[in-house]
Amino acid sequence: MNFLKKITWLIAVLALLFLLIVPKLSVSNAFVFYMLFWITLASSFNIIYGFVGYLPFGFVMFYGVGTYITAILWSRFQIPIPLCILVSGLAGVLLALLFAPTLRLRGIYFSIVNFSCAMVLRIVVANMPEKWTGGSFGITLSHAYKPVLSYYFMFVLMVITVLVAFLLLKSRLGIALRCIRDDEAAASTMGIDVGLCRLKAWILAALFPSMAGGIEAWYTAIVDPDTSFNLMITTKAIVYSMFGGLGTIIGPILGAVFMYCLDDFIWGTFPLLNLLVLGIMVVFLVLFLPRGIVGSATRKWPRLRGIIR
Amino acid sequence: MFDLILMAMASGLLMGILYGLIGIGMNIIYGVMRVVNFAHGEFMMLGAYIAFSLHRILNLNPIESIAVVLPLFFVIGLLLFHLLNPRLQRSDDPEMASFLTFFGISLIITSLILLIWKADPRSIPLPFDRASLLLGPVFMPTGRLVSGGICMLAVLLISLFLYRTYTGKAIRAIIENREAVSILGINVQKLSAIVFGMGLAMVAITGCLITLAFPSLTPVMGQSYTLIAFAVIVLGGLGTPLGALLGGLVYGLAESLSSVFLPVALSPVIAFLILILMVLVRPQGLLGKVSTRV
Repeated sequence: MNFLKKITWLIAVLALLFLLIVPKLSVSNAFVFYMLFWITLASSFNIIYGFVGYLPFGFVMFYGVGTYITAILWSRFQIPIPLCILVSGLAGVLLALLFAPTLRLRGIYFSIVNFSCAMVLRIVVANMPEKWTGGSFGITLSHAYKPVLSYYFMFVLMVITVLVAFLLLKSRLGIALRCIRDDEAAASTMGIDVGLCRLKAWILAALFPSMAGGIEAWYTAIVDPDTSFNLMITTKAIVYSMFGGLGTIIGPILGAVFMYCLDDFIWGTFPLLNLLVLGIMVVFLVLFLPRGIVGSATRKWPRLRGIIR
Repeated sequence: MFDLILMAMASGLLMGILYGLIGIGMNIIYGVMRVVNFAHGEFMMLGAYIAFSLHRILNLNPIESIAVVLPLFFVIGLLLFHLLNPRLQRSDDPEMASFLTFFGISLIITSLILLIWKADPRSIPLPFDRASLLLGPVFMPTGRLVSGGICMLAVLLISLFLYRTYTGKAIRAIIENREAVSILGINVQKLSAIVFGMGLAMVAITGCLITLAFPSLTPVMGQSYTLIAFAVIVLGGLGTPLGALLGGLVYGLAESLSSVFLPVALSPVIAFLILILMVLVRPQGLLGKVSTRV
């Protein structure tokens, strides 16, 4: 048992070392950059859906606001990029606080209202004065373009996100969250402040995608409303984290790595089929693999639970 | 200015009937199956595109194509229900699982529309001699008048079915109390399948008619209609079948009146704000009663 655990850690350390030297290995690191990006998004989505059981269909709005805040601050006020990214994260938290009242809703009500909020934000951003958001053409940041540096930013953010999710799972708050997810009334009777716990998780789930949005805007050096508020971002966060296994730490990581590779392959080979495959994947996962690969594995071999979660 | 407002109100009401029909379909599906059909708008677009192809190939106008589209979608609904429902009922959280499944189906339909009909906007030429009619002080587009009229007829037939026939009464009974109904020996599964088929048939009819009211079709329109349908049934009350008609009228009015006073691009914002406020303030809807069941 202990041996298996050591192997798992060894793999993790080797993977991290590999990720550190990726920019030295090849000229283009876009593939790995986006893999890190999706691990970050899938892990933060897991915090709110996997741990708390709330499915935010407008999840994309945190990412979208992150991209725009960084783009606007850098291009209009010449604020250094790292500061922009921090402000992006702050903006995401503020947005989460603004929409905190919707946490009162349950199940599909929450999902659809959240989705509508994202649509409203998208329309508002696209119709803001052009000197702010650049209208439907968006903003370019070509002078800030530094692919290697932004790669490392993404790497650090991914590590922090996974670490926070890991600590959260072990912490008192994490246990409280799972209690609330499984039986809200019982949790409340036990003296857990349901609203406050949920709000904390909601803020965490907003913080990382917003910062990831800021870094991604820096990496691609272009921001526009159609990309920043594309429902596909939510869809992929759902599919990737579900495929790996919601409510676990390693699930969203594995899911993001596997599914991103598959997605990238399909996108490169049959671009038209990408949406179709994603749709089929969603239906397939819900019907046949609702716990994801990690969830199904730990259910079949409970002894694995000590090693992967 | 007064004429403009009057015109906006008239066309808002006509669109409202269309929204109402979409909403009724979604609402009976929700009432019976406790599932929000996230692919509702996509099914509507599919209906509209099939009407487009029927016009191209057989030279049918959208009203005639209802005769083909209605039974087709009813059968699709029955098949889909029997394919999905057994597995969904067994899942840990049937409500969320169905919601996600329908989301997947909505992606599949959108991509099929993109693959078959391509992304270019499509339109069906209007089958009328005159594009608009003068009614009293206002000009009304003929397409909207005709589509509104047919929708009204459909709503009437559905109400007769739900309130005057034995099957319809059983369906309303399921919406009221599922457990009690199965004790009475009503086959809930069979009726749910029929209701799902009916819901899809209704939204597909609206798809045919929407080609008369809005001349241009694009594959990505479905999503916004799903949200409109949801707003409409939240306004009218979830599980109150005819409340959706009221919801649709209110929504249609709000949308067209806001487009008079605000930039056109912002009018969807008003609609979403209505939805968000409604859910937060009065989730049981305009007509709905506070549910006593858990």
